Amino acid sequence: MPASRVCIAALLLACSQALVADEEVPDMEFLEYLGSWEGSEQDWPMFAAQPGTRNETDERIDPAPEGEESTEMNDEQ
Amino acid sequence: MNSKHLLAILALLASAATMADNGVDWESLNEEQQQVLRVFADSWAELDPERQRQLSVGAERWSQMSDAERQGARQRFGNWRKLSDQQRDTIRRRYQEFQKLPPEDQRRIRENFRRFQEISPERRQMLRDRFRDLTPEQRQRLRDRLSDRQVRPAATRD
Repeated sequence: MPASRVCIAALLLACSQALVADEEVPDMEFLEYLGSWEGSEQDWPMFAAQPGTRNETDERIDPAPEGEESTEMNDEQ
Repeated sequence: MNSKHLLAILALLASAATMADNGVDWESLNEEQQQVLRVFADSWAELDPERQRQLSVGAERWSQMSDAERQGARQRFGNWRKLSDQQRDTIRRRYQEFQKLPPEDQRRIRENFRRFQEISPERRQMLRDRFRDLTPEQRQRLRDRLSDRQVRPAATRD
């Protein structure tokens, strides 16, 4: 393979890796959000304030009140 | 997140706590944190200490996440941004209370939430409506039965 093609391929690879790296770097607001939690930020959806709160994807983020799901279990017994 | 990652984060938080008054020195960040925070390198010294602390912890957590975890975190952040300040304050307050619970209680609450999320939205709404129709006493009895069910495995129950 000609040296020029190798150089071009290497340059393209380096550029693509740089682009991927840039895409992976989160912005300041997001990093502050990640660092603002005492533990994992995965837990906060359990405590969303208002029942029925919906986001743009129509996914509910509010949790079940403690004990609520057991009515499901009662139906199946 | 495995125990190694958790220990690393705890160590980071401990060191960050001791430097809270003076902020976080750029040189004290590990290589992965500096990589994540590289765009802020030039302005790092001008950031206030609390912001430095949060960014350093956030960068450490980000660097330890899998692709799936990162995707989940981004999605939750998107939902977080849609909340009002009042909602965020309420969630923060509840979250802090949750952190004080014993690990077993935390695990139980997470599991209950996960199970609830797995059922259909319509079923969830029906359960909510049913729960809201209960009297406070009935709710408490339900909670007590649920706690008892967690303590005693099904095989040993009467």
